[in-house]
Amino acid sequence: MPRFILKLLLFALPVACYGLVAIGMPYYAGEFTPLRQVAAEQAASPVASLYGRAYRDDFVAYKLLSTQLRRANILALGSSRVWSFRAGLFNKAGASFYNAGGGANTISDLGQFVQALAADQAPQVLIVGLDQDWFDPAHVPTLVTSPAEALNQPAMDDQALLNTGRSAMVDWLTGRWSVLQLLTRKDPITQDHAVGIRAIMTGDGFRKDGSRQFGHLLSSPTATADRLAETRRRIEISGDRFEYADQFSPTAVAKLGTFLDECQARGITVIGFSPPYAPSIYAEMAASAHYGYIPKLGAELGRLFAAKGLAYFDFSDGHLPGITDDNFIDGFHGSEIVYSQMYLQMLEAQPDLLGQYSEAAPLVARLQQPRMNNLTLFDNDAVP
Amino acid sequence: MSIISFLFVAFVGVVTVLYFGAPQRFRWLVLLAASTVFYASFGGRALVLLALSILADFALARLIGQTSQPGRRRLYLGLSLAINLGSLALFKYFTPAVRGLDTSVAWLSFARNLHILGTPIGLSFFTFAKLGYVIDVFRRQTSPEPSLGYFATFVAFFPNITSGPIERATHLLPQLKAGQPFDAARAAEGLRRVLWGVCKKVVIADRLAIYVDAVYNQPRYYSGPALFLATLFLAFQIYADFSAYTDIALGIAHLLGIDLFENFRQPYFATSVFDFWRRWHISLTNWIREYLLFPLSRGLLRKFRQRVAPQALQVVVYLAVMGLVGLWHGASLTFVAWGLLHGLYLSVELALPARLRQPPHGRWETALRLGVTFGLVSLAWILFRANSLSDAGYIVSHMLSLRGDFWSAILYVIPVDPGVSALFTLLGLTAAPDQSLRLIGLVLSLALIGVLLLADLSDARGGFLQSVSRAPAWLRWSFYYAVTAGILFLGSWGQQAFLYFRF
Repeated sequence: MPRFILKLLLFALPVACYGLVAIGMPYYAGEFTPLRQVAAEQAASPVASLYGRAYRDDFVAYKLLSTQLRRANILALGSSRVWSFRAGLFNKAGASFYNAGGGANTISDLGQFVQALAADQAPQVLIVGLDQDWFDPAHVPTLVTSPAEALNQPAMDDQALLNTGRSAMVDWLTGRWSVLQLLTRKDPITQDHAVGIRAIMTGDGFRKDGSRQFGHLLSSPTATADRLAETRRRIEISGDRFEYADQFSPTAVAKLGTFLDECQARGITVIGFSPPYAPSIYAEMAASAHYGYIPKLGAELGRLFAAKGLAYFDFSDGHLPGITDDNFIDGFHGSEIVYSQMYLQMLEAQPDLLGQYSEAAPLVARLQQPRMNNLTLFDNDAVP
Repeated sequence: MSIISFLFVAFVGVVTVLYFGAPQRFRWLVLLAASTVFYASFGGRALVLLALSILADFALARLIGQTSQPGRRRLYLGLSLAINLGSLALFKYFTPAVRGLDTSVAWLSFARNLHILGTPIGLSFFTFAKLGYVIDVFRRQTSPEPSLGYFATFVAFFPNITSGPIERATHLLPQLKAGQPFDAARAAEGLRRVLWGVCKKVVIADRLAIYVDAVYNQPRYYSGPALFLATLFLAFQIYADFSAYTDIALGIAHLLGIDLFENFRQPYFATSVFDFWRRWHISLTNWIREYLLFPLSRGLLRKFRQRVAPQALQVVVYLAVMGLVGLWHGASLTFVAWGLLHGLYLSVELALPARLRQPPHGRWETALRLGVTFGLVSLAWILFRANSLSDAGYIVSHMLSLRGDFWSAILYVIPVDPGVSALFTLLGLTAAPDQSLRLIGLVLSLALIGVLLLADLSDARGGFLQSVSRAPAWLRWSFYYAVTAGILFLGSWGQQAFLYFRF
């Protein structure tokens, strides 16, 4: 038997090497760290950290768990078009902010997300991004896990592990990640602690405040025209969130109204906004006459929010002080510079509400300072 | 505990070390403990039911053996039949049927509430194993087992309890008692077979299952070529899936020095439906033939010989028996219809001229009869897999029609295979269009079916894995690593349970 066991071990050696690279390294990098642990460590740690997995896209659950743990008094909620609000905007003592962007990808998701928060987890102020395509009757939402299902996703089992291992092995063999860099477990942009292969290799991931760091753009900047090209392609084919429509969906607006009532009943003050497109993109959309629903939507949402005594801001056209296409991640995701300007406008319009959490002068001064790039405003060191 | 899991690999490793490390007279105890742990992983309630059923049949067999009074012996046999078939009927057919009932009738409510116990895993398999034992004792073909421990180990033996093969006490009990010493060559053979079984399951069966499930769950969305392709894939998915489990079960048993019944013998090389049933799920066929078909035939012939032609009686017997075989697979009209169709096939074959009932002569006749048999069996598989008789009817009536472009109809079905995508990425072909990936996926699936058939051909000529064992060391190890690489890179890790696990 000893000789047989030796032969078995000899056979297993290359398989173990495969396992070490394909499963062991991703495990070390945090690809299999339970989400609760990731969310808890990011919440509890006084230092900055970045979370970005490469092989499992479960950010809805991540945002929900983090929100439940943070108990922030100001919460930003919506799709990826909310990602650029930073904690540094809320600079008064006692203000606590979390960016739950990505946690809701439809109007129904907004309600499910807030319902999943207990009374002591719910914010006082909720800044909600209302993507225009949510109200586009021609748009069919991509299937993304809803907040109601997010926490019921099955745990990583053997088969999921082997699936991930295969992808990880292929990526290692093609040079998409390296063992040496994974061993550092550091964000290559800021040198902060990083969890997940995507965060370690590219600096892409969610910061401690929930905002998104687009590491690949910071380390390897691409020309603005290139960043907007994909959006232009979608406009041309009327697809993927850019479907043509002349009228907005009244059903969707009614659903939103129900959501606003539910928030008000819970004592949550909602500030709504339509996220910006890059100025040239919006101009092209307007000139094409294919997106007649967007200005009509803005007017309708304005009426809806006013009727409920709430504030709404239509930033669709991207016209903000000092903002150009260069400040956009792509055609419909603004950078934190864009969102900082947006927030200043909200602060100016809502001094009583938002003035408890933010002081405008330091933000204005920061925006006027020379910057290293067109996309970021705050260093991670500045993030509480 | 899935038998395709890291936990099960560790479990078998520990059991093997403990088994061969234990003194020979206690080895059965290691197997019993391991089988208990394995079965308990499916739920404590199921374990209790298994234990009670083992106790009941152990006691009844002992009582049969202790008395010579025919009436008493028949009573004990009847009790065993009632308990075993009653459990089968209750958990497998009656409880699911009343689950949705809104009733205040006490016994119906009780039966409905039994659903919380679930259907004990492997119920169909271990019920037949125990029944076969009790009937053998009744027939005086074997004496009752004096040791409850050995009997329990025989019934609960973990490699085959969930999906067979259905063992006979006369075959397995002596091996359990013998407690063979460790043999490296046997162990290598066993592990070789397990590796091949895992490959058949995750690389072949589960890959084909993706296509089959997509089409068979919504057949009306698909055109003729897609329905035809899915039906072709279905035949090999079922075979690869079931035979994979058998390979793993037999491989583990062989590792432990125990030989279980072979369950398959190149079934798609059958030249008649009778021949098919001598090659497919052999342990079930033998059980049915020994304990149902022959007694029923003899009984009916004795009773009705004067009034009904023997051939007509045989038709009735085959239809009845095969209908029951269908029912054994599940409480669904489609399974019963599948069984009845096979009964019809067998009845028709009985009526064929003697020349056609003999083995074929020459290559052309062999090829023709092979093709016809495969076609008939594949047609029946449609009933086995379809979600309803209506779906089965739709598939049969539309699978030879063409709607739209042939290749689009086929490729529409084929999903982008993660294994193929991985291969393309490694080759630097990341910009390959979806259609290319789907086409490669189709070619790969057909190639894997070819590999399965080639392995069977090799088996027919002396044993596929035996020829691997006789190969030079470098070739043998190349085979091991090629299969392992195939499992890791081409495996379809999509949580597909073994098909026969449901039975």
